[in-house]
Amino acid sequence: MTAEPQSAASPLIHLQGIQKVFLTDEVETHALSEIHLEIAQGEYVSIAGPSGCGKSTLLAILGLLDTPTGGTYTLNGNQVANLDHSARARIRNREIGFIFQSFNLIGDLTVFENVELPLTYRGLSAGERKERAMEALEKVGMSHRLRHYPSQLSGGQQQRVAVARALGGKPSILLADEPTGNLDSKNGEAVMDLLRQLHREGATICMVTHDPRFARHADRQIHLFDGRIVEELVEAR
Amino acid sequence: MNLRQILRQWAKSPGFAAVAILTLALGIGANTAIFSLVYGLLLQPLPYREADRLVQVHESVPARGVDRVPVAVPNLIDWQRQSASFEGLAGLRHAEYNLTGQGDPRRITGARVTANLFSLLGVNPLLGRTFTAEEEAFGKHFVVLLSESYWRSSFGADPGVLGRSLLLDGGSYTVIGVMPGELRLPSRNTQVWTPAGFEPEELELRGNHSWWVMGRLKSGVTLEQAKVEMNGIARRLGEQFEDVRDFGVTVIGLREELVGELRLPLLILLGAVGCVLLIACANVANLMLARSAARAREFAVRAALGARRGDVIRQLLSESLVLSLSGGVLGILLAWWGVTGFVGWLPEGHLLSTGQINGSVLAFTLGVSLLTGLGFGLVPAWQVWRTDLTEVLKDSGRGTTEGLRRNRLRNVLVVVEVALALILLVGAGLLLRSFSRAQRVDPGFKTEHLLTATLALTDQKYPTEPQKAQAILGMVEQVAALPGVESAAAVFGLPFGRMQSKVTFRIEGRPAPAAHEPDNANYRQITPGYFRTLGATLLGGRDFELRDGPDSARVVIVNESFLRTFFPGGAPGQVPSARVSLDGTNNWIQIVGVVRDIRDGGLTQPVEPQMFMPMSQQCWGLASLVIRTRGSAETLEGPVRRAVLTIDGEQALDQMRSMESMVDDTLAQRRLQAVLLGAFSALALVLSAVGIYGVMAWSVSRRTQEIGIRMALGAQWSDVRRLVIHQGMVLTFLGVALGLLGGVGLARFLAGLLYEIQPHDPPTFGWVTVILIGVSWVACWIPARRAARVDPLVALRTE
Repeated sequence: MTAEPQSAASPLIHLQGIQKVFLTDEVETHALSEIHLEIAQGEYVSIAGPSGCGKSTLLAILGLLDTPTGGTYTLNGNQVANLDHSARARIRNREIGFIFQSFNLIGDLTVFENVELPLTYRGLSAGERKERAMEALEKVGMSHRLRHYPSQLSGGQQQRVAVARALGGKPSILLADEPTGNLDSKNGEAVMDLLRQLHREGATICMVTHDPRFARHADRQIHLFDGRIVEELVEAR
Repeated sequence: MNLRQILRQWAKSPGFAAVAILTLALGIGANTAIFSLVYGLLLQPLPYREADRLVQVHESVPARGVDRVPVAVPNLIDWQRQSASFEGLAGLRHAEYNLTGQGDPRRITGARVTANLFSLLGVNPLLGRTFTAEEEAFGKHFVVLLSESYWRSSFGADPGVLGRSLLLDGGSYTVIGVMPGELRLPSRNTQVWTPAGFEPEELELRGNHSWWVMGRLKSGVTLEQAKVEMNGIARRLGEQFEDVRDFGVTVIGLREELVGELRLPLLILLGAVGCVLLIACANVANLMLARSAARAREFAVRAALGARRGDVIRQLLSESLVLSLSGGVLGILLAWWGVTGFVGWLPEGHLLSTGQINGSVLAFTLGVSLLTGLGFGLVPAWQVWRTDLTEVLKDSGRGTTEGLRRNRLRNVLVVVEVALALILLVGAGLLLRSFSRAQRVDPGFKTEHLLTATLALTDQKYPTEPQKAQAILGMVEQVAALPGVESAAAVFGLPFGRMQSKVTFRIEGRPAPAAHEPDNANYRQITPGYFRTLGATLLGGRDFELRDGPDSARVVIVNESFLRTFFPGGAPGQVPSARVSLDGTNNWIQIVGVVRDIRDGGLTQPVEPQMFMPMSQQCWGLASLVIRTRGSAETLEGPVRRAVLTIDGEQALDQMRSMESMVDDTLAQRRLQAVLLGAFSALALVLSAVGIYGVMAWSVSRRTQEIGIRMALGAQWSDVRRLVIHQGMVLTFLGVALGLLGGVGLARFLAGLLYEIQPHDPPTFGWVTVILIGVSWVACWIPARRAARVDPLVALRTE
């Protein structure tokens, strides 16, 4: 990870009083209420909770895919809650790496092209893109499958490629949404090991999961219920 | 799958059904409309007995490359006597008559025909009888046959019309019959037929080529055999008679003669609408592919319930056929509306006005609809054939987006659409530019504020040429004195008019020209002031004056083309000191002036050598008044008629119209081709744009998740728009490359229809390419814009 160094007093992510209210048929649904959360650089945080508790909504707000209805969101010291579309896209590209439950690789692109994709939006030279993509693929052990298409890979391999794609941009934080949800237990464990490995190497990770076994992989476990943080555990490592 | 299920499917997606049916209706309608014209002209049986044996026989002058010359009466009679290839040969000649004694005098269109014409054609009268051989003789020819339309319009379809008299050119003709409406010879406008009544002079003059000859080949005799025999006869006649020394004979099937130069443009149009239909098919095939992809799960469920692959394909084909038949029904309505409007727009008597939606056309439409349904129905059926339906049910989303490779077939269809549209645009562009060039041709005179009308003085009333000339000069004087008239004159051989004549001549001091050398010119008779009234330019010498009378030295004015042909090397406009003879005697005529070329055969036809004689020195009694007006030409029609009646109370004026409209008519054929091909290429452009839009919109909808991923990874709106537009434009450029190749091929076919435009005209190819690319870009931009609005969060939730 090559994010800008943060001072101890300045967390990487700072959420203050975040709310998210959905309006459907004149009914207000409070998906998130009064969320206060700080994530420091290098932390491995899991967000767990039952289905519908708001964990995916929280992750979407953290990833700038959604905007909060209220509260403030500071990323790397910058207010990012109410940026325009273009600025949010730029921050997503440079500061955030996504790992999705369904891998979300693009079927028409090879493994290498999938990993290279976010870098093309950054305007990097071809040489630099290649260097970074190769580095990321080597890190996840997929550099031998460069020219393969996603459909030619197993689920576990696809998720590794997705992780490599997230790493390629050297983001400040990795946001993982149920990264093992579409994998069997063996492949699931392997992906969790990979995240653990990345964390040991300095990556900041925020993972949403409903599975307590995987939540325990994180240093800090946050439990959501009805859109509120109801419990926070810090594992002693 | 029954009809009710299909209709239920349509009700579920009315947009799909509406777009598909409308697209097919446009394609099938265009084909039906053009086929109705093709059928009317090229395929419909001629209304004559065994019409495939009917031919038109012309004289020809092979040494000069002239293959169709009207026939001289003595030659016709010799042919009738000597030929063995024909059951009969009949003559006919266009004629116009002054009809008097029935209210205001007026001109009617007719024909003089030999008595055997109707039996040769196999046409029986609706009422009464046709001519007898005796009535063909001069002096006994005062009987007349009416056309059915004239009988209905002027006599209220009165069966008692037989025996009544018509005063034609002052002679009393007895009505002996009414001919059926199908008889349209020599033209669709013919109102009466009279017997040939060959005058003694006509029976003598072999140089007077003015009759059309039709023949019926004997059973078993081919066109080639008849040609050989007739040319043998012509050779023998040429050895006997100096006037036809170098003449031959051309024999042409009647259908080919009637269709003339319309065959190629019609076939090109048929090809064009075929392309439009292909584009429509490709569009609907694309829609069907999209639907079948979206319905893959439905098909899979059917397969799980026991349906065989063939059952699913049959279902798809049933849907296609019902769609295409619905499109066909709507297409017939569109075609009926289009053909009715088009025929109404054509000039009266135009050959294409035979176009109509009849049983044969409906059968064609049914066939086209069924073929179309199969055509676009087979594409998705084939797709289903290749798909493992049970795999579809197992599909649980492998975590990758759908690949574009699955769109390959749809992409191919779009490329083909673009290519076809470009080919049509090239054709339309070439014809439109050609038409535009033709419109800009300088006719050599001023066409605005010029009113014209034709008249024919009869021998009964004006037996001598001086009498005829005197009457015409008097009428010109009366008309010139009218308020609003700037000047007036008369001419035999009005530019773009029907009365045309050629004359063979000799130049004093030169030997008789060889067979391949030019020896004739267009022949005109004019009154003094004609060039001034017309707005033509006298380049040298003098105009005719009143002193150029019947008793003074004979004079002639020639045009620039005449000088270039017969006096090359002289200074432009320099009057040659030369005399010509028109009758082979020493009756020499002095050239006194040179006029700038006046186009008269058509704006795009080359100007031929012309000779202008003063009407006071030679006048056949046929003339057109040319009236230069100060204001609108049309407002003077009434006063001009009345002015002529003050000189001769029985004199009819015909074809009164402005010169501008006559010039306009000469471009009718080019306009017709350009407008029709332009309309069809515009339709093709729209349909292909819809096709590109459809594919891109479908692609965007299928790639929503991919677009969401890209945006989550940091893609800007502009990146997404670029992605979609790039995909569409790659298809467009592939289509353009193919289309340009096809356009080059089409241009070769069009070469003969172009005027002052090269078939590979770079601006045309350039502009239509730019237009097509522009339209494609817009068609891609709309779905691209929609793609850029994809909410990544929503897109990712669909995973």
